[in-house]
Amino acid sequence: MNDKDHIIETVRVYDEVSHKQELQSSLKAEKIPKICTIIDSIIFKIGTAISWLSVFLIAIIVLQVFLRYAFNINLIQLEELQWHLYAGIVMFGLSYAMVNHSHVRVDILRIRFSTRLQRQIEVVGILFLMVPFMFIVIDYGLDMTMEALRINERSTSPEGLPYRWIVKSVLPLSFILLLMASISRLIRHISFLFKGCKNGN
Amino acid sequence: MEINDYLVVSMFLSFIFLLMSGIPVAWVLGGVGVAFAGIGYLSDIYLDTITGLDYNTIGLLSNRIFKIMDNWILVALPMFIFMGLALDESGIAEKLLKSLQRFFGKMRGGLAITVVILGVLLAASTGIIGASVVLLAVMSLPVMLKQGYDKQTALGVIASSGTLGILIPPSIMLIIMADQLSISVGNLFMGAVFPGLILGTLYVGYLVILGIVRPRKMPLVTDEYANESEISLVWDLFKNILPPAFLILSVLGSIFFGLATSTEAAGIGAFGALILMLVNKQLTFEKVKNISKATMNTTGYIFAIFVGATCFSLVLRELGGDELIMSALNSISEDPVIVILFILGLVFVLGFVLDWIEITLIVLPLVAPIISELALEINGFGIENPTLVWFVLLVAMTLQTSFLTPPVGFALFYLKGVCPPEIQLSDIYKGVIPFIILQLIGLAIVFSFPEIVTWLPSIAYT
Repeated sequence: MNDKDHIIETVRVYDEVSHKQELQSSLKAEKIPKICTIIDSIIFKIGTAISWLSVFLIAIIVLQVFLRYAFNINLIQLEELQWHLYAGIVMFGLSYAMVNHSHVRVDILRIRFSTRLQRQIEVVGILFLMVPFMFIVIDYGLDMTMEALRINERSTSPEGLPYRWIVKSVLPLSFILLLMASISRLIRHISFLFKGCKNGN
Repeated sequence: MEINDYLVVSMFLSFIFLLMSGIPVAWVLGGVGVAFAGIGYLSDIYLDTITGLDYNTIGLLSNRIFKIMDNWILVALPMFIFMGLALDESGIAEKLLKSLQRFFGKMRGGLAITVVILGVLLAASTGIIGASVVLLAVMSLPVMLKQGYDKQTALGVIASSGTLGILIPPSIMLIIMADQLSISVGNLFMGAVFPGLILGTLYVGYLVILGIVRPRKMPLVTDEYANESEISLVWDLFKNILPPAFLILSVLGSIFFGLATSTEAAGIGAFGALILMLVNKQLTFEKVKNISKATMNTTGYIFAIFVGATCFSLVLRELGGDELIMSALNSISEDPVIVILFILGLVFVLGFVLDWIEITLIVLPLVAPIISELALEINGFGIENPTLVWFVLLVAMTLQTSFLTPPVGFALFYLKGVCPPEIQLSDIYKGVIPFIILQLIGLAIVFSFPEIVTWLPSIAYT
């Protein structure tokens, strides 16, 4: 095995260990409703596109340090741009991690539950824990963005970046994607539970 | 107890109950927060409590999440994750393992020591326990077993070296801890250097002694490398250890000498890792794309817990949970040492079910005020908040020990996941016991001599 295969192997094994449960249940020829595949793939594509921001962020940091040491220039804009980019990465990462089944769970007991029970719990969790939480963040996040747009909010420092509403809109937008991802998950589980009943499974 | 206190207790109980049901931690935190905001609102109306919770209070949530988004210190986090993933992809780890193996091949227990050194070097790169345990296991377990190592010893070395990563800087856990407690990332990084080295030294010392006392557990290779000259071995090792060591030391060094902030150092580190990939002819479009995607995924699940915990702690505070916990902890004992030991014990037990992210985000902010107020005389050499820096590192070491401890340590399960099927979980359990003892020794040393932590930060940035 050469080095390259070795690393791919490592990454693959790591993925499998961390999402073993998830993989096992999806391996059982489950018929996933089409709408769920569409939603998930949209979120996945948006996430993949936004993930490039981390390369951009590296470039900005390198540029800032270079300018400081080579020309003794400190640009506030560059510094602010860094957290703007970071905010995009982490917030859109929420829904991206969700479609990748990466969110951390305590699965000491869960692995002993039947697939059915696991899915029933998940449905309850999405309906009563996730949706109310996301609804509140989206509701107030939109308010916050609209307010920033209305007063044309900008950075508090005179040389800072204008249009604060853009980065503020990341909050409601990313949570809307997260809500979509959880609804897709909800539809998937309910359709599985429903069909399972019919087959007497 | 007052009605408020019952609400706080039931909030914690429902959190634990829902957590055990296997719903992702982040959404349990967020959902329980929102639910108890509703319950608090109703109890104000019907039970005459004064929580002041209503829809507007919970709306503060969006401001608090925005505070996470405009946090310049946390920008370092995705950058260090990127750096770690890029280092993994660069193929340096494998090269390093091979040359370390050849170098230590002539020494009894050399291979095991190699794993410890690799753990320290690589660990620095990710700080995610699962990733480093799995990486070490996949790379070195087959080689060790083939060479006839006692399997329990081999498993113990891998699990414990893999968890070193959450302690050794630049660990992302320390960044989050620094952010939560408003202490300097640089101080924490510098403070962690000696505790990390002490643990590494304890591990290596144990392996050397074991090699002498129980030679059968770690057999020597049968002269596979006998005809290689010493000089070529040393040169080879030097060549392979230099790039990653240079990268990590320059990241730490630039923070140490105050040349760059930790955020800048992280960005430069990520850039350096890309350069290493280029030098190793591993830099392709496809790989950079995969690293970016993996970075986003990892930051995504870490920050989900951030967002959830923000909601949980907001509501907990409104219900008066902070005061309840403070008075409970203060009533344990007058003696600060006992209070600290109690908190560490709590962290140790919590480490069985929760990862460091949750513990850092929920427990640390609750106990930090108490620690700052304890009447402890610590020689801080004039650094800011010496007690907190020392305490945080004790927590970090405790957590690391907890992840190693049977029956439910995280590292053990990750390791089991990549082991050949003939290895039983009980082999892993037995293998880690000596290392847990070493951890406790290390913890006791740092506990007794806080100067080990506080000295290095005090001479930095000069």
